[in-house]
Amino acid sequence: MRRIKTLAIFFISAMLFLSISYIAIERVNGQNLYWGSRGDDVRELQTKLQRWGYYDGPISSVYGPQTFEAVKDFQRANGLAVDGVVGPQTRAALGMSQQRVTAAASTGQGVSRSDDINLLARIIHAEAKGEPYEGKVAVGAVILNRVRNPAFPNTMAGVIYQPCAFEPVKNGSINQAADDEAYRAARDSLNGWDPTGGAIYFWNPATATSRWIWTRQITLRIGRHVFAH
Amino acid sequence: MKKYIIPGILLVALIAVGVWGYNQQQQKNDYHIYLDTQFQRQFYDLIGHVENVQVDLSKAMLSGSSNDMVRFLNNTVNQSYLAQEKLTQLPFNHSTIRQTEKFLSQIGDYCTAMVSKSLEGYVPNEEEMTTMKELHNYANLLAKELVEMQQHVASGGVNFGDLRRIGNRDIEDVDEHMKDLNLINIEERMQDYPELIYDGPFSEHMKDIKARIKGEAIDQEEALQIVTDTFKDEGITNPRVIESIQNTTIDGYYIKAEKNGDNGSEVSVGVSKIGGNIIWYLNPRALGESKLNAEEAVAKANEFLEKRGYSKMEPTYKMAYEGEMIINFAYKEKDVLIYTDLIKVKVALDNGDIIGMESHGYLVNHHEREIQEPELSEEEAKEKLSSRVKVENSRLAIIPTEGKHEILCYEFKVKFGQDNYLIYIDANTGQQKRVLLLIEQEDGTLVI
Repeated sequence: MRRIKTLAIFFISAMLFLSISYIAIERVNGQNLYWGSRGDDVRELQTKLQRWGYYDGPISSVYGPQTFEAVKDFQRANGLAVDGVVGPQTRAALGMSQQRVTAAASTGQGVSRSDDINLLARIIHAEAKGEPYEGKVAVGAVILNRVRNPAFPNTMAGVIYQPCAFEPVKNGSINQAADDEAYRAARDSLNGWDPTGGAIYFWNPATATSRWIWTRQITLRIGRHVFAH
Repeated sequence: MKKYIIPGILLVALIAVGVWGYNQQQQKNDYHIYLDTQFQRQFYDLIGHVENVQVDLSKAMLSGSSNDMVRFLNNTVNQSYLAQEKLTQLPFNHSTIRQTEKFLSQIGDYCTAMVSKSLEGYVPNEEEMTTMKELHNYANLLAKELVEMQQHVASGGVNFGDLRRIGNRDIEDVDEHMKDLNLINIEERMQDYPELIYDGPFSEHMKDIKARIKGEAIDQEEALQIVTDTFKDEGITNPRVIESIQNTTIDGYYIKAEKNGDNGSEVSVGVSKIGGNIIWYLNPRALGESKLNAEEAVAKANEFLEKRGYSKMEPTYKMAYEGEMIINFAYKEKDVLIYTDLIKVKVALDNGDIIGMESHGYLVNHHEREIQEPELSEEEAKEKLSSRVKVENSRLAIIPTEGKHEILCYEFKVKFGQDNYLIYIDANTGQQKRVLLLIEQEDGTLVI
């Protein structure tokens, strides 16, 4: 009985602790540095991380996957919550100045495409793991070609989440974080690189079950994928 | 007493598993019903939108003034895109609904083109009215068929949740279900709606665009030589043809090669069969610490293009990412910037290597142009701008329309509030053709 009681207390306190720390993270997220942040603060962060040997990427002022990994390493080494987000505690540990009050953002600042790129990178990662780099760019290009094609949805999310379209959406592997290379391939395809010559279909001949798909006009093969329109 | 212990434990375990299984089953049903009802909602929305397309289009046709016409055409545009969106998110197999999806996109796009024409004071001619009438008939037909299908759904004959599961499993099965659903029937009747040619991105003429670039046809050996020559300074070795790229706007060869000092990571290139031009080039090597600034990177890219015979290319905008910079170049002729003839070059910021190139726009669009003198002077065009903006500079440029036709415009870089914009005024008619917002960042300028 005693043991059950201790166990119960342990669980309840663990749950409480988790929910509190979760709320805490949520609360401060708004003003922190995280994947996709840009600017002088990120430059300062990268410089510090590089000086201490956590980071070997370029000092680019852009918080990308390499910076993300470096921040996590730093947090791990310093006993901080390993979330890859530079909040007040990580800031203090890094010896960076505390949050400056930023002037109100000017009106009319356009939307950034950073969310699109995350989604695209994840589908590329899930669909083309282990493919050559141009094969990854090609998968990204097919998604973007579909957005521009009348016979498909007109938004990137619409294309990617279209039912029965992509295996990773069905089995949930689209929710895995994309690696560095997938991220880079997503950016190249968003910037117009298209090795497929305008393809809107791709499939792996080893696993494709549909006969219909072979009636399409094939443009080329890259790695294990056949591209067509 | 002892002999009951094990059976007792087993019995308890069995009951526990039973309860667990029942709960799982309940949960599964719950999700299944939820999914099915979500899909049903979308399906009912779809029918509503298609009916509205039909109604709004008919109202547009009978409108007396072009103002009213524009209003109804705009509604048609909205409703058809909403219908398209709903249809594409239902769990139907793509091959059985692609014509219907295309119809909905095209009707929206066609009406958008008609809206812009009407706003410029144009009255649709007899032919365009006939096209609209035909489109209206097809929208009507689609609505009717969908309503029929709805009765099938309502009577419980279709479960969208099941459809999704089957759709992911077996194509043959799906075809059976689609027949049940009347969808095949719809799709067949949608096959012969008229081909639409107009100034829009979904117009039928877009897929027939062929590259304008001229030159000799080359074979594989020559293609390899071109790769070796083009990337001589980049230290590329051992190029080999992997595949032929065909059925595209620019057919070519897909070539892979190695690059010195990149630890075996391979580069890939597309070379056009006609003219032997580089269509695209990608070198995904790891990037070191950035040492070049923007001016140096642009100079490197410029030098690369000039050495390969692309003279008269002007850098238009640039964007830096982690360790690399992408620079856009547009062709310039007689002080007119030709945005359609576009080449992108990617420079590594650690040592200035060229690690990417993309020249699809240039190869498709570049040709000898007879650029006419504009009818409006720069001052006259400037008067067309809003008095609220401050003009910073201006120049002549050729930009593509939605349907990839070219128009000569005055490009004005203006300031409005905190932001910079590019405004394009047609140099002959004085109409405002496009407005772009410039998002200036430390790392370069993004144009939206």
